[in-house]
Amino acid sequence: MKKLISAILFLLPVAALAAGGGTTHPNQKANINYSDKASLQNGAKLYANYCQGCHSMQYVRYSRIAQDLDLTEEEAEQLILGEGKLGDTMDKAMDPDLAKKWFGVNPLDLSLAARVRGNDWLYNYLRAFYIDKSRPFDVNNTVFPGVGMPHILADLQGLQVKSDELLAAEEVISMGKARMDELKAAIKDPESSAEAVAKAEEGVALIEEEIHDAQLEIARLSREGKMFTIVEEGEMTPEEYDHAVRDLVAFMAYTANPVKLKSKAIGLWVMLFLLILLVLAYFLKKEFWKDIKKK
Amino acid sequence: MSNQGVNKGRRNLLIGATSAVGAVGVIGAAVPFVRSWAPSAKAQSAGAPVEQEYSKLEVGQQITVEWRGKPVWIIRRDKKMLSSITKSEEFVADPASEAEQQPEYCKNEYRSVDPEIFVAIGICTHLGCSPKLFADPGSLENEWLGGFYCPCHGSKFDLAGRVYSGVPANANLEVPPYIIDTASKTIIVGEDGGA
Amino acid sequence: MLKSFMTWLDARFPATKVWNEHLAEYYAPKNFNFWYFFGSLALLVLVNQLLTGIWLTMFYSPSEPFASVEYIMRDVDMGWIIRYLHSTGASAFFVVVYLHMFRGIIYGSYKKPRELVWIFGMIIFVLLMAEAFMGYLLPWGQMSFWGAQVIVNLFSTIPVVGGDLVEWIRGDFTLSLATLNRFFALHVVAVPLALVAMVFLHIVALHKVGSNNPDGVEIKEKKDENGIPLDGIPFHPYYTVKDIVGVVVFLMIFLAIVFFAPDFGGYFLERPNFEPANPLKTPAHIAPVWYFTPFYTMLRAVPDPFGGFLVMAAAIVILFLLPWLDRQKVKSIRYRGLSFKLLLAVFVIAFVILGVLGVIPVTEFTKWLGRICTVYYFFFFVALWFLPKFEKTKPVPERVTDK
Repeated sequence: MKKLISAILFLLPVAALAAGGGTTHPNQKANINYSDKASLQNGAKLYANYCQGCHSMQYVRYSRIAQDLDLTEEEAEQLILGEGKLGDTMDKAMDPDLAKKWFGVNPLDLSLAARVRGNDWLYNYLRAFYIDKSRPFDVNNTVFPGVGMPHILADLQGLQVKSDELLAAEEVISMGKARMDELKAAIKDPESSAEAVAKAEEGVALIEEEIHDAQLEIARLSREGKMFTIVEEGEMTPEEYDHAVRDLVAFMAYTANPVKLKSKAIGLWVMLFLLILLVLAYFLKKEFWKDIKKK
Repeated sequence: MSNQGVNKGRRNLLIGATSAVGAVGVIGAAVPFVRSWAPSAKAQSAGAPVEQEYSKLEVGQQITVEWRGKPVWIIRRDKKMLSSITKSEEFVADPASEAEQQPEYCKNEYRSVDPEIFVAIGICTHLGCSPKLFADPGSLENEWLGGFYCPCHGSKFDLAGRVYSGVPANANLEVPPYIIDTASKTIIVGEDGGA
Repeated sequence: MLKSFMTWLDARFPATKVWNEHLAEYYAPKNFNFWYFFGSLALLVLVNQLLTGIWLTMFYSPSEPFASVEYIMRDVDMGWIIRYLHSTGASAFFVVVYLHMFRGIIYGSYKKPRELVWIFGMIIFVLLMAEAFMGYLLPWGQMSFWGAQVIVNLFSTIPVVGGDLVEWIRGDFTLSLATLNRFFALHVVAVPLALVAMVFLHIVALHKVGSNNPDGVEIKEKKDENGIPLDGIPFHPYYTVKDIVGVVVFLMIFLAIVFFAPDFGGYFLERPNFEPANPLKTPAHIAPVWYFTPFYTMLRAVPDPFGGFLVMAAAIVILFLLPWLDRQKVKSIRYRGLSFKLLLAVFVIAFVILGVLGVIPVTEFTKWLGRICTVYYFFFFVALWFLPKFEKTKPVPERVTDK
């Protein structure tokens, strides 16, 4: 028994690691609320307006959304693309072949995106587009470097660049790495004097510390959401935009796992029932086992 | 393992209570297994109401639309056809449509919302063949008033889908729920207007 | 009325006889503890898997696997409950079976005369691994695909015939729907049939020799004037009512996972498996489902792939030999020496470490740790053989004790 418990304790940190997923920059929590219908409804609207052109949700039916999100029939019909019916699944507007021509790939189906990537990842990703003229759509993304998608929400967010603090920290890291390579080459060079090697080693240690500090700085900026500076304002303030993205992620979290709330509700009843059964079963067992004890 | 001093009453009560609660649990556990057999959201979507415009449907003409995998006839009846229904009254088995083969709002002489437009599921109530329309009097046999004839086993129905007496089929043709939107001249099969 | 029906039935079918032999007059030791719940729980999980599995088969379609799983999860009314019961049940099966096997080891339940009970149980374990492996391919997600890819490719390491063998297993030049279709047939028909048959034999063999107990005392050696073991009590009603308590507690844990955390933090349902299988894109990190990870780590511990394959196979085969490797006559850990207790404790720790190492990325450190644990895994069995020479056992009581 003790062994079992220690085994479980041993496993716990690993479980925490796996649940957290990788670290992203920025690294903020989506904090979505599954039971906030207004938030989900707003997310559905944003999804229909900005995402559905390119991304399908081929397993999600409009009728189900209407039912789960308390939409009226009119509201639900506004989400429907083209000639679709309420019972249809959410197909995308774009022809898959054309999409492949434009983007090089057929945009992903997003039915389950939140379950593949996680809510926080999506939340950070949608807020991490920054101007990078070297990319095909003039934007890059710190959460998904080399992203193939344009910044579709730029109207709302505006355009941003990496903040001075972030650039400074990144500069420290890239410069440091370059200098470190030189020093390491010097250490390996058989012609270097012992004195030079010692000095180089000292330098490496120093740079390692610098890089470490810079990484901590990036982590801080990530956490505090200070990675970017807006250079071209959008329709929304940064707070409004964060809010909108949160709603959108909430909607995607819902589509990825539409039964989450229902499951919890049923689960509570099941637990309550089993508790009653447990009490009865326990007394039944005790009653019968009186025979054995007497013996 | 002496059985002396056993409180039989208490024991039986506990057995009864645990079994009863356990039985509730078994029933609860069966719910997902039973409910999963109901038509899925996909099937329900495929079985959604079907819309059909009827403005181009000419008098006396029949069209068939598919609803829930079944053929649904829409026929525009003229005066002559309607009068044949009155005449066939004495030959049919259930002239007043007592059997529940139609929505409440079609339980009338012509078995329709609008006498001119007849909507019915084109499946013989005998063994499921699809009857054929023989609209003109005398087109099937000399005494024929006009109606539907099932080629499989010879069941006959009048132009309101009422079954003739003495044929294999014993119920009138089923009328599906439908509403007529007069503004857009469309029939929506499968949607219950309730009026 | 009922009595005359039973007379009629008993004249044609041994209903009362079977009932008595296996329940009402099957005498089990009266000192079963916590560890003795897992056998009946395994049976419960088996029934759960069979029922939910039959139902899933009604909606699953091997020609569009990923989409049909989503169909079950979304379009089929309450289909998600059935699917989560099945997916959580797979993990629960291994939890209870591992604990059940551990019980066998601590109380020496595989020792004479119960060698066959253990062998049948080991066959069940191997079948279960095959069943779980093939079942995991069926959702056709990224992990399904790449996990199966890795395991199937293990056979390619076999010299000479490897390449052809793998092609034959896959029925294609890559893992494809052809592979999935045969896995589906095996998963839903062939292996379950074999499993049920083996479970039947496991129980028949057990009831022939009678259950062991935490004291490792043979209760059949001390009988009363009626030939009933003095320390035996009828399985029914005493252990049926006790097992009901165990079942309810188990269901509370099991259903809490089903309803509140069916993914179990990515261990029961892995994240990449919500993405359809893509033969052109390997996930960053392929990890087998948790119940295979100890053996997976042993596989990776050996640099040579075929060697790894053999080590992994040997790790299973050696378990079959346990009744003959453990030569100590004293059965229960209660009366065995400290040396055995230490040996076993480290074995459990090594096995858990092997399991953990299978899910985390490989580093130089974990590679060596994995090797050490693998070596220890085998050392344990070898040590068991020599142990009686050094072990200081305590005297075993004549009768079972009260705790």
